[in-house]
Amino acid sequence: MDMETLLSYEWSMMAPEFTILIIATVLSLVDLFADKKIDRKLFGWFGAAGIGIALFFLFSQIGHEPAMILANTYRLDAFSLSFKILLLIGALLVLLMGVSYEAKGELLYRGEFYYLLMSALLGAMMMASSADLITLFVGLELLSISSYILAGTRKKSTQSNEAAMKYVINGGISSAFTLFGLSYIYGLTGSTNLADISREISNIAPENGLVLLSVAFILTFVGLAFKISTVPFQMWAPDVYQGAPIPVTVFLSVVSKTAGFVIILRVLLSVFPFAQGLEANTSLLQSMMIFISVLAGITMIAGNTVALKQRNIKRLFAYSSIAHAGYLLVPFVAFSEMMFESMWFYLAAYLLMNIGAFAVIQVMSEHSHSEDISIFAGLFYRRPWMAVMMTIFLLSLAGIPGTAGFIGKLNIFIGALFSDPSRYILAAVMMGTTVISYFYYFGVMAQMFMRPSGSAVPIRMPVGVTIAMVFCAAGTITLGLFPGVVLDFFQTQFNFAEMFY
Amino acid sequence: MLENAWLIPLFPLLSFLLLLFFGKQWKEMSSHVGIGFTGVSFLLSVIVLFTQMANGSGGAEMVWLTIGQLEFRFGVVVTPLNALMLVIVSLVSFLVHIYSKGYMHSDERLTTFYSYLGLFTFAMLALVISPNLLQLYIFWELVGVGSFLLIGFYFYKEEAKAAAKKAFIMTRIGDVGLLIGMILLFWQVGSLEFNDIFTAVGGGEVPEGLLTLIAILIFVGAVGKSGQFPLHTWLPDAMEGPTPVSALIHAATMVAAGVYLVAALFPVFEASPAAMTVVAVVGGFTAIFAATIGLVQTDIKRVLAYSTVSQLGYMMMALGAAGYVAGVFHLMTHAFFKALLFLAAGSVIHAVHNQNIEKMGGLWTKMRITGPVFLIGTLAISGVPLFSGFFSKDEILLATWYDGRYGLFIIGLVAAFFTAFYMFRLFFMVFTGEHRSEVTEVRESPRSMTIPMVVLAFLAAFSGYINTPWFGTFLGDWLAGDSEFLPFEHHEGPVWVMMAASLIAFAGIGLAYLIYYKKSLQRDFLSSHMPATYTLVFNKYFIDEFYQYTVEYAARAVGYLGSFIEKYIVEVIVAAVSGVTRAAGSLGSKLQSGQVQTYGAIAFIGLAILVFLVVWTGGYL
Amino acid sequence: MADLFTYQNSYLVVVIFLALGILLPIVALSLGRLLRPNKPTEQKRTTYESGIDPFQDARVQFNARYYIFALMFVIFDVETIFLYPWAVAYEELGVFALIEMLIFVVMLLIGLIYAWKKKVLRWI
Repeated sequence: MDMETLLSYEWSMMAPEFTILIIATVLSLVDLFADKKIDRKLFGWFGAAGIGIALFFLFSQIGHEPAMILANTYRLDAFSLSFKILLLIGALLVLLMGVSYEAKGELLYRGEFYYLLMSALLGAMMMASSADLITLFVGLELLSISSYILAGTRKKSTQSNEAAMKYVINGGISSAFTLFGLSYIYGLTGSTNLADISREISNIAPENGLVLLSVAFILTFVGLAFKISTVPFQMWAPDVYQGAPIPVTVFLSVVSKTAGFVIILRVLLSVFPFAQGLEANTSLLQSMMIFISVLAGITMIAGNTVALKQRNIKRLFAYSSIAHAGYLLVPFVAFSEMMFESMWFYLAAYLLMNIGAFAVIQVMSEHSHSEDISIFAGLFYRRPWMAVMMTIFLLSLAGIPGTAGFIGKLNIFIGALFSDPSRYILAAVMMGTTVISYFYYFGVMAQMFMRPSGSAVPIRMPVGVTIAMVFCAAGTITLGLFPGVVLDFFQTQFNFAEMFY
Repeated sequence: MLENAWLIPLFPLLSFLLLLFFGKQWKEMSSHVGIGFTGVSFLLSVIVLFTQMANGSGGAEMVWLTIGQLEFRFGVVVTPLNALMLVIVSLVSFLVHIYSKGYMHSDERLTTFYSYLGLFTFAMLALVISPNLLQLYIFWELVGVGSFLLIGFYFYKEEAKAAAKKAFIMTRIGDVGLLIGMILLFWQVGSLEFNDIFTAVGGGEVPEGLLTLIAILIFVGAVGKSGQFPLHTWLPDAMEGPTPVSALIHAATMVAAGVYLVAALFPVFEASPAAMTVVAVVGGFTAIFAATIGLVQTDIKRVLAYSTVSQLGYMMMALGAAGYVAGVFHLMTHAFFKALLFLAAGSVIHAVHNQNIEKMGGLWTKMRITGPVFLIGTLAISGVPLFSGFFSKDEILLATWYDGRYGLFIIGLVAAFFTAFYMFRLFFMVFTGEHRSEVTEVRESPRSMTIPMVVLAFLAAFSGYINTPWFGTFLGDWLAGDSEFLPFEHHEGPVWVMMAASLIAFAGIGLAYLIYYKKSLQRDFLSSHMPATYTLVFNKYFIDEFYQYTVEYAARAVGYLGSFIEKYIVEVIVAAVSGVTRAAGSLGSKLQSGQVQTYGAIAFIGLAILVFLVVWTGGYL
Repeated sequence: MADLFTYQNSYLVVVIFLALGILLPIVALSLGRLLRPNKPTEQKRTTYESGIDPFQDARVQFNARYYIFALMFVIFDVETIFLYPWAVAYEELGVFALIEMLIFVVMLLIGLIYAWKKKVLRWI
């Protein structure tokens, strides 16, 4: 590759990534050389500004023709753009929460939190716009390794250390699975480039490579299931979510999970729809859907039933997060024409309601130095606004009409029923487990409205987390009442057919 | 005006929001805010009602959400049924708002109470003007939330907390049915607009078997909301809420939403005879079942609660017997007299600070307004001629008779007998006889409480005259006349049905009179003049004893059987469902050992199983 | 099926190496056990430590700094390994490779600065 081709690339396509990269580097250097007395919270605002700039670049790219640079390894298309918007907004809100996070002397190196978050975000963004197995994997690992460290940021807390350790070990196993699966794909097609693979793969004669390809599918999926915490790779989530600092927990449950779905869609949809399936005239992806649907069903059941027993609010939300990952697999299994739309919308709704709920949890658990569900007792009589916002988030998570979560579930539902073949069993499981989920969400609500409050100490609400909370509440309601606005924008601006080569 | 009907639910919503955020500053003022806003709603509802009568149905809609090629709409529609419901709901809510000012005046969370009332009224009003099932479902759930909050209003009482939870969960079970039914309907019709659904059903686009399933599933939702057997158990427990709430939600409006749902979707039900039978039988069974339980209750509100369940069953039975007008008519009259009874019961509780009817008595002379209005309500619900309940009950009995459901007709008569009996038992025990209360100085309630009761008493007495065999069937013509989907024919009933209904009512009242009023007199008489009038007394006594041993004990036995079924069968099923869920939960948490090697092993085993299955199903083993 | 067999056959070599790797120590040690005479004394049973009398427990805790130092060493070792072939083939690779290499070196430089400021390089 010579200088000329290098200069001929449209580098502005990567402007959002460059912005984040520069911010991360600058922050890490400034953190090293700046005086100890300088409040590291400034970093958070600086990082937030950086994400804002990246978002600006991203929005200016909407409507861009699908294009690839760097020897077809970096791809700009509707898929990457739309999901990167979610990743950036999610990270921005996490950053705002992080600025307000106080952990009584356990957060020794505050600066690290901000630039590791940035590098994790960079990894997630790379996952969204890579068109090559190698860069995808590098993005995945960048996200993972940053997250491992982030989980252990509360250095003096044994729980946080335990969380980091468990996360590393399980992450290592999952990476091994994924790589093993990807190696099969490479072995069968002779290329790591997704565009090449999707061309090559249809040439594989069924009697030769089919079994290997099916095994590759399962290996890759199970490996990536770690990131989205679905069965059989969901066990780490409760322990890690509980141990990690709250902003990191949110990051793992929202941004990291979104990135996980992004990579699953990107890899599996670029490769397997083009391979011959087990039966004639079907694609391998269709043949494999039955396994994914079973996994999705077990995930929903496991997440929602185990959540019933939890008293620790972070653990409860970990199981809830597992359940939501199960819901999110339903449109993937249904594979209707509305798949992208419903997954994107649900992820957006989940982002808003989950970050919002965690913002309230953060305020309350810092106030009472506990994570038991009883910290919410009588919240309505102490901070009515905050209780109302938490109610909005809980209702949305439970999928009650009027909120974003309901529209998201409705989308998924209709997709599952109107697809061909229709996935009514999965839809039924989703409905049943949603009903189960009412119990624990309303348990929290009952605490807020129907218990007397224990103390009368005023609850402190730092500015960052309040902004996040209000934004999420407004977003949840807006998406719930006027989903047409977002869905119309989505349908007119993003054409997902671009994703395929 | 009709396209602006959306303003009606907006005012209670405004009241809810204002009180939620500024209530703390306003304190006492908040009741005025709530009353004012609901009053405006009521006025608008009345205007809408008259506009509808003058100009026919109308509404307004806009596209809310597009998913794929499917469109969801949002808007309002005013049909005769909707307009009637609007007036009933806003009127009862308005009166309850006024009543609560007196009833709740000493409660420090008065503003919270009024804000919840606003939320509920908003949801209920929005529910009845929904032009499609999705919108209806949204507010259906919101109504449930409002009910949950209000039942658990006294959250420091363990029973109230448990009751709120139970109500929420039991109705949720029904809602799942409704949701599935909705989805199936949507699947078949491709739209949730009432008009599209009726057109499709009328055109025979939905297969017969599936239509029956859909109708029954939707009915399951109505069963949950309206406290029909076997999902009725939450309703008596819901009496833990404040009494005005019981009057508004658990007597007049929300519980009637199930009946409203069946009425609103009547063409769907009508297209499936099997579903109609299910509705009628469940309704009839509930009517008699709840009435028998009502015979042995001693808590004043619980008697009324079982009576509500029973009367709702009556309405369902009417709808199932194709008596559309009868069901809706009874829904209306019941809303008035049952709200009246609850408010009057609240007034009594307010006076004696007790809910046990064994510890009341002789209140007639002390409560000069509550007593007569309670009597009016009791007469109306018992179906005494010339009161509102008489005409609507008569209409129901006629409907079952003409539908050829003679079994249900008899059940209806028996239930009417029980109703008259236990209602007058209640009346006699509370208002006549000796004063048994621990509170010695019983005072009449303040004017803010008595005025709503008087208004309702007026309605309970005279609202029946809008649909009578004597002065014309104005309501029936109006309700069904406008719609192409509702065939309506009024049955010119044989006179003997009306006579039988009246006789049954009087028989029940007479029995109650003999047992609970006369007997206490006799006992006095017996103890003082034992030898002289022995034979005569013996004979009288013999009649009483006869009734005691045959009728009342049999009724008691049936009542206990009902409680037994409820306690050991219904609750066991509920417990089994939740038990299985819990067991799955604990299995999951056992695996969650905290050992990282277990987690890895599970992932690995999962992978191995999957790979094995893939290879196996692919035919490579 | 032909491709599949070729594919699987290429793993045969791995299997052979695996088997050899496992067999070699087992065979060697058990053969030695069978052949040698066995007459242990107190002196013979002591741990061999380069002729010095053994002291302390064999399992001692090492300072964690050893580990971090080793890590640093490995990182820069890898850097040289990357730099060397690039330097050799510089003519063919051209400007793009130069830029790539510069990015790589700058990244490691930031890492070094980080380690330095975090006092990893200081030995107590």
